[in-house]
Amino acid sequence: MASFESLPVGEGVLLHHLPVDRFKSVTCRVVFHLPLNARAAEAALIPPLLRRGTRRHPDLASIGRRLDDLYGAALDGDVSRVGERQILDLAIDIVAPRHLPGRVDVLAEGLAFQRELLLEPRLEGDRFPAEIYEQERENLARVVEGLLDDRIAYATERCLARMCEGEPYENYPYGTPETIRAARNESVVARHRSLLRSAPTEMFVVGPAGRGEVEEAAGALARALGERRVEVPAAPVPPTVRPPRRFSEEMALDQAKLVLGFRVATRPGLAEDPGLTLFATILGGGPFSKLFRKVREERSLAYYASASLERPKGLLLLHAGIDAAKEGAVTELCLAQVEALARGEIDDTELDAARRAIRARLKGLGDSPSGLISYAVERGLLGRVPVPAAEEEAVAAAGRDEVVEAARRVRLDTVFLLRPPGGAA
Amino acid sequence: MTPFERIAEARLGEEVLRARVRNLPVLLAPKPGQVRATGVLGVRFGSCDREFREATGGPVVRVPDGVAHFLEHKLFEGTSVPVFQRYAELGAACNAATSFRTTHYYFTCTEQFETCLEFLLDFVQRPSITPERVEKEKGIIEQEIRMYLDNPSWRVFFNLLGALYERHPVRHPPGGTVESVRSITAEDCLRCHRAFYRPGNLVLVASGDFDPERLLARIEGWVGAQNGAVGEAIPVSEEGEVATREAVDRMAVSRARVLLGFRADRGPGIGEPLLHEELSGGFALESLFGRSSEIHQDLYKRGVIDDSFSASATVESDFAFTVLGGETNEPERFREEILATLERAKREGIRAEDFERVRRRHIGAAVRRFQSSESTAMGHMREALRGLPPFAHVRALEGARREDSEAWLRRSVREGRLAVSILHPS
Repeated sequence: MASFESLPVGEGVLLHHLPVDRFKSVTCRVVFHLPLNARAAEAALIPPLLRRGTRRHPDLASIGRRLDDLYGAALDGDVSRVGERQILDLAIDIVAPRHLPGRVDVLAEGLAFQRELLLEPRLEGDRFPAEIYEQERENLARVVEGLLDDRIAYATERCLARMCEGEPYENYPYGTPETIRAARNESVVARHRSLLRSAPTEMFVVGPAGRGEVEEAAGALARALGERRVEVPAAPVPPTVRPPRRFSEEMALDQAKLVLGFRVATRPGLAEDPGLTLFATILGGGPFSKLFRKVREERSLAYYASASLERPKGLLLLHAGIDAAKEGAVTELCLAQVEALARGEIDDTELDAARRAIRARLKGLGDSPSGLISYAVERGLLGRVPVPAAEEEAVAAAGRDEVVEAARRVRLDTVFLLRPPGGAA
Repeated sequence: MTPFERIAEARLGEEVLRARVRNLPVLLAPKPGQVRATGVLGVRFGSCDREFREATGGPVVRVPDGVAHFLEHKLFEGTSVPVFQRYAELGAACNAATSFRTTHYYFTCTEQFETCLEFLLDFVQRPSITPERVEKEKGIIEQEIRMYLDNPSWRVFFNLLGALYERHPVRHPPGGTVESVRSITAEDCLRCHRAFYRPGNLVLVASGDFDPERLLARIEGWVGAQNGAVGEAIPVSEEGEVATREAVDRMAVSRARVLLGFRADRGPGIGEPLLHEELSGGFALESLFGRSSEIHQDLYKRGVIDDSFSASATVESDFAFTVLGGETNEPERFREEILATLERAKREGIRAEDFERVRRRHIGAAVRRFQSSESTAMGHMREALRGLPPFAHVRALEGARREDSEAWLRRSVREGRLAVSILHPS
C-alpha cells in the first residue's frame, strides 16, 4: 500500500491524501485535536449539533435531502478518546461518480457540503436554536446513560474511570450525563469557534480522488478557517506506581463482567512497539491465545476472554464474562498467563498464529478507508501519519525476546468486577 | 472444465463467474487489487426448519429448537483441529451465523486463500459429531443464550415475535432456549446435516483478488460426487388475527423500548416475488420514516422519536413482518403517533419526491456494498439463497415503483396483524 501524502495547507491544517482507485467511494474525514478534560461534554455536543442544520440547510430534512441527492452520501461525526486527547471529527463518504447513473459532480459538491456543515452551523445570535440544542443535549445524555445497556462496554469504562482517577483519561469522551445536562448553549458555540480557531486540524482523504480536487477542497477548508493560533494539547504525564486495587459494582445481569487493567510502560521513540502488539495478541487476541485456550476452552471459566490495548495511553485490559463466584480463580489464571509470557513460555505455534493474526489485521486495514484513517489518527497523533505496512514489517522482525520484554513492562493496576446482585462484593 | 457464465455489471465495475460444480452452485467475484479475500458457504437451512422431511414425500421429522445453531457450533469443532484454530494458523478469521431460514460459514484472509476455501468446503461437509462432544457444547451454548437474554434489543424483539406468531418457529431466537438446547442429541444434528447440507442446497461464494477460471478449476478438485436425497423444508403459514396484542417486560435499561410489529399471513416464496416484497416494503418505510422525510423531521422535532428509531421489513420465503421502534419515554404516545402516521400514509400515499430520494440513496448504498470482499460475497450469497441471479437487487432499483410501495402499505399495515412489545426500565 502507498503512503499518505501529507501537505500543510494552512496554519495548523494538514492534508493527508491516500489515492486508492479500487475503492467505490471517497472518504473525507476532518479531525480536530483537543485536550481531554472535564469539559469533554461541550465538544461532544458539537458533532450532533452540526448535523442539525446550517444556514443554507436549516433542518434535518433539508440536510437529509441534500445527502440523498448526493446518492446517499454518508455523514459521520463523533468524538473519541485517543490517549489524553479528545478527537472530534466529521466525515463524509461519497460514492465515486463513475459508479452512478448520469453525470454528477457528487465529489466536489459533497466536500463543499462537509465544509458547510463544519463551518456554518445554523445559529441564533451566539446560540444554537434553543429547541434543537436542548434536544441534542438530552439525546447525548441518554446515549451516555445507555452505555449501561452494553454490559461489556460499561464494565470496561467503569474500570478505566476507577483506574485513571485524577488523570485526564478518566474522562469519558462524551462527558457524563450530569456534565452534558449542565453544558450551556453559549459555551458549546464558543467551544466550536475556538476549535476552528485553534485546534490542530487534519483532513484525511482516501479513495478514488485526484490530487487536484483534493487539494482544492483542503485549500478551501484552510481559507475558510482563516487566521489561526494553534494550541497543541500537552503531552500526558506518566502515572505513579502503586499496588493493585480492586473495585466491584452491582448490576442486574446474568453474567459477571471482569476487567483487569494493567499499566504498560511505553517506549518513547518506538512507535510500532511490535513486542507489545505481539504480547497482547498471544495473550488474548484470538482463539489461539492463552486466555481463550486456558480460561475458556480448557477450564470453561468464561464465555469470552480477551485482551485489548489502549495503546496511546499505555494501558492493557483483559476482559472476561464469568460466574462471579469464580472471580478469584479467573483473575489468578489470567495473571498466570501474563507471567508465563514474561518467563518466555511461548511456543512457536502461538507466536506464528499471533504474527499471522496481526498481519491479517494490518493488511486488512488496506481495504477499509475508515480503518486506514483511524489507524493514522491513533498512531500519528499529528505530523507523521503511518500506514499499517511499517508495523507489519516491525512485527515480522520481532520474536520471543521482544514479547518477554513487553510482558515485563506490564503491571496490574486495577481489578474491576461488574457482578449480579447477591454473593460477595 | 465445468461450464460457466460471466455476469458483469459494468457501471459497478463488478463481475461474477457463475457455475455449478457437481451440483454445487458456485459464484466467484474477482476483485483486482483487493487485500482481503472472503469465502462463504451458505445453506438453505435455519432455525425455523425444526420440522422437515428427510426426503421428498417421507414422514415429517421434528427436532428441538436451536438445532441449526447447535449444528453450526458443532461443525466449527472440526474433525481433528478446531476450525477457529486452523483458520488462525492460516492467519484468517472465520465465523458463522444461523438465521431463520439459512446458515452460513465464512472466512476472510489476506493470504493462503485457496487453502482457506478448501478447508471451508471440507469442514462444513464433514461433520464429526459425537454424543460426548454434544454434551460438552451445551454449557457453552447455554452461556451464549444467557448473554443474549441480557441484551435489551434482543429481548424486546423476540418478545414481539412471540406475540406476532403463535405457531411459526420464527417466534423463537435462532439459538433456541436453555431447555430445548439441553434436549438436543448428536443424532438430531447429524439428521439435519444429512438432509440439508447437500451440494444442491448449498451455495459457495468467493470474492477477492484471484483469477476466477483458475479458482474454478481448483474447486472442481475439492468437490466430490455426492448424491442422495435432499431434505424438504416445510413452509409454515400463520394467518388471521394476532392473538397476543401486547408483550410487556421489564429489565435494567435506561429507557423504555417499544417495537410495533405487523405480521403478514404468509411469505412470498423465493425469487422475484421475494425481492419485490422486500423492495416495496423497504422503499415504503424509508420514504415515510427516512431521515430526509418531513414525517421523520416532524416526529423527531416533537420528541416522539430520536436516533434510536428504526423501521424495517423482514421478508423470508414463508413469513414476513415489519418492525418499527426505538427508545422512548412515552411508549403510549409513541404507539399512537406511529400508527397514525402509517394510517395517513395508507390514505394519502407516498410523495413522489420522497420516493425518488430513497431510490437515489439506495443506488449509492448498493455501490458501497461492493466495496469490501466480505460484503460483496455476502450480498451474492444472500441473493443466491433467495433464488435470485447475481446483481438482481441493484438492477431492480431503477425500476422500483411507488405504486408498489403504496400497495405494500395497504396490505401490510393492518390493525388485526399488529402487536406491540414494550420493555420498561425495572
